[in-house]
Amino acid sequence: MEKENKHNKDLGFQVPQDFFKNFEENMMTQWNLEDKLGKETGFEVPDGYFESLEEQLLPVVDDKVRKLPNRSNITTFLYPVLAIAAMLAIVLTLNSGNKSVDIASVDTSVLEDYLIEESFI
Amino acid sequence: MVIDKEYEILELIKAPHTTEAGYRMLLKEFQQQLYWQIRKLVIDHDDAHDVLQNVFVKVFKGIKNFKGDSKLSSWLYRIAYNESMTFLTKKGKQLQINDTELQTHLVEQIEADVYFTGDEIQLALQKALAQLPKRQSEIFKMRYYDEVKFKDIAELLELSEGAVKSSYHIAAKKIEQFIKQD
Repeated sequence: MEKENKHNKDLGFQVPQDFFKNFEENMMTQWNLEDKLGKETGFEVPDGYFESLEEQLLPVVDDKVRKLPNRSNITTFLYPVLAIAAMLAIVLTLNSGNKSVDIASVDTSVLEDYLIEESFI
Repeated sequence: MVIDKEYEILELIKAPHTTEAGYRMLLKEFQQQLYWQIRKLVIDHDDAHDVLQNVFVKVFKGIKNFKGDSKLSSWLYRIAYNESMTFLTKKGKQLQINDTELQTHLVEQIEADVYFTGDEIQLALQKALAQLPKRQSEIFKMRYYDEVKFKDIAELLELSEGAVKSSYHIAAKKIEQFIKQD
């Protein structure tokens, strides 16, 4: 911590170590970059791209959205799977002596991701 | 983007008879902003187009559940960022190269890209960005070009605001040095 003495007459305010030195350096770096680079990236798009983009995207996106399974389909499928998993866990617990399987540790989203990845849903 | 406009879009989408009009307005308002955000991350135009399409699929699918905890534009920015990262990870896996090699590969392709008309200094910047650690590069692009607040970047990347500021200033200094040398 350091006190800035000249303009801070014992008000108790402090700044982190090297605050003003770093501030000056950072500001100069920023100024240098903006001066040399500007904010242009040089990336371009094909002529008329944005004018027709909305018309291109809307039907494609709409079609893909309709094909995605909705939440109710997922849960309808998931509940029997979870029920089977729960039964398996009980059977394993009963048959394994001290070993116990905690069904609560199976995260729903993990199961969901697995089912999606394996193309079950 | 005025908050009123975001509210209008959400209201249109909510009502079944105006949903399509809402989607159209959403596309019109955000397509360019999101495209350029994605393009800076994935570099190639065709890739940016594909990712943009995937972003709007996610958005249209999820917008009815959007709770309004954040601004709509922040929510869209987050989806675009995540989709871009997912895309780059997949591309790296397909090409069987790591993050740094992928960035170098993308920059090498820029030189032959008809949709890159940058001058030497802009090309030098892309080369400099490719040499930065992934996080520093992402933070630099978000802050320098998109002027995203440090606080919002921190939230998006699940980092502290101090860490994001520090990363940005380190990245900016490295780029300054790289460009001086080049």
